[in-house]
Amino acid sequence: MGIIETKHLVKEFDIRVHTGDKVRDFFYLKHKPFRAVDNVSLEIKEGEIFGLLGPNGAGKTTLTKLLTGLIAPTSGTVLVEGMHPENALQKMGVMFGYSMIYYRMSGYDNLKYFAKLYGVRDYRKRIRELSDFLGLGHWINDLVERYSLGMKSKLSFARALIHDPDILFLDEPTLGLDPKISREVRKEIKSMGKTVMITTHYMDEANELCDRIGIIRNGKLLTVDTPENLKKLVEKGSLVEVGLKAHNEKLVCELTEKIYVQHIDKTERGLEVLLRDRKYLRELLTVLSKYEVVHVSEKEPTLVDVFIKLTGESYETC
Amino acid sequence: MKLVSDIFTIAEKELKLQLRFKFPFFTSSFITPLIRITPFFMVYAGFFYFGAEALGEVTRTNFVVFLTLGMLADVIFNIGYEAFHTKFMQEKYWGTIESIFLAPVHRVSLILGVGLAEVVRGLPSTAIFLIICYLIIPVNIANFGVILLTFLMAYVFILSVGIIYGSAALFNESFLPIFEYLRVAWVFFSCFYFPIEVIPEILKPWALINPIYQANVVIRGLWISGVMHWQPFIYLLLLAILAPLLAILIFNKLWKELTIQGY
Repeated sequence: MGIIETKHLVKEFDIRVHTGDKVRDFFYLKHKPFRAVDNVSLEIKEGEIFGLLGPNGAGKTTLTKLLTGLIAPTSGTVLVEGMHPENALQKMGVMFGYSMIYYRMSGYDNLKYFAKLYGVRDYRKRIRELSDFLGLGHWINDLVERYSLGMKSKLSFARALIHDPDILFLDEPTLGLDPKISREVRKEIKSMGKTVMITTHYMDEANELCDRIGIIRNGKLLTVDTPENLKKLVEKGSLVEVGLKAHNEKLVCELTEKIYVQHIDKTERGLEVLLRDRKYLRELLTVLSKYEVVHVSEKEPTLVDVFIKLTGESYETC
Repeated sequence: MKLVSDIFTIAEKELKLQLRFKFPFFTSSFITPLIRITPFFMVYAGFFYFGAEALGEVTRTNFVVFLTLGMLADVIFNIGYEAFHTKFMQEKYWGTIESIFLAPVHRVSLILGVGLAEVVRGLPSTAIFLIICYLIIPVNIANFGVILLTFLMAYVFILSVGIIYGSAALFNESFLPIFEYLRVAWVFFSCFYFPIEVIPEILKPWALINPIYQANVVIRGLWISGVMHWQPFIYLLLLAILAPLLAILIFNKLWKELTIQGY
């Protein structure tokens, strides 16, 4: 049995619809139901670091809010340690980006406030520990409104950890942090031995941290597996590195129009082309033969390629 | 024990947030009530100066106390009614509202914690206004205790209504004007600055069922006439116990069914 379990979880919202009728659109009169989370069944094991990846608007934050009990599902169930999330609040630490900290109070007062609500006995010691670990330094006594984004992020992370919870929900925990602190935070997350659910846009971070990763798109959980197994989803031979003498926009445009090309990424020395199937390699080589190509080689897939393959997200357009 | 500790923790946090900008913190508890009472004071003073003997229970010897006690009840009413609307609205847009609902805090602690912070804020001015009343018409310690208890019960009742108003700020701001209009009517039927005789007969039942009006009856009765009105006191006591429970039930139901909207 998982420490966090969902069964057929659905969350629907009403969203506004553009009708073309100026009056109706001005007053936002037309709505339609929208499934932000669509039939998600998930099990996160004790001590596991579970990553949730997905493009913007995929339903990551909504799913996290459902798991923490902040919003109620339209249908389906959520259990945290076998309980309704509302009954497991003491066991959960939650971080949603920079939010949930009071900018009009000092960092110290923020942490003290939450420490007391969570019943932390020696809160002074705990605040000192977290402040030292995250490098909040003398800023801890200053008003949060004067913090940089990175400092706010650190404080928000400290807030989630203040009561040493068993389960952590971290939404973009390293956003805005400098590389050194990011690395230390990742190290800390890894070494804590807690059950962690993390959403991130940094694929390297997910690869380094997560025992398993779920990829979500349009509210649907497309797949859940270990990073290694996920990489196997991108077939050997379907990710091709193309070395070019110089960047060639014409080539990029031509490839973009090909139905068998799922994604093109510009690199320093040329392009990375992700094919929908390795059987299209011959067609790709035919196109490349018309251009000044230095080399063509197979590339080991990364989580980014898996993400692109599963979500269909593409960055390059002509 | 945790419940009590949470109340003080929440109150401390609320005061710290309010003290970020100190000038409004002090002016709102001293200047605003004075601005509210001054026009009524002038009207009554002029009224009695030109020879009038009484307007209902208000006479030339008790009108200052009548008005000051009414003003205090009005301040308490407004603080309680507005507390959660202001708080939830601010925290919704600050992005901090989730933090309180993710912490293991009972809703009663939230109500009383926010309420306590407002009491502390209003304490110096309330003390000064009560001293003024005492200098004009002295009151014995037992009656004074019951008066304070009545203020407290009225405050708890109105805070409970305030949390429903606050939930509109969280879940659907379209309903906020309804609560605004309700407040106008409620203030009118509370008789803060005039006696009930001013209200037309046909509308009087609305004042009589109004717990805030009944609180005024108890407070003024004890302070001005030394008479204890038991029925209104018990009515208020029951509501002060039931209203928070009912308010929490409603809030929890809304919290489960609706989503925070507007930010």
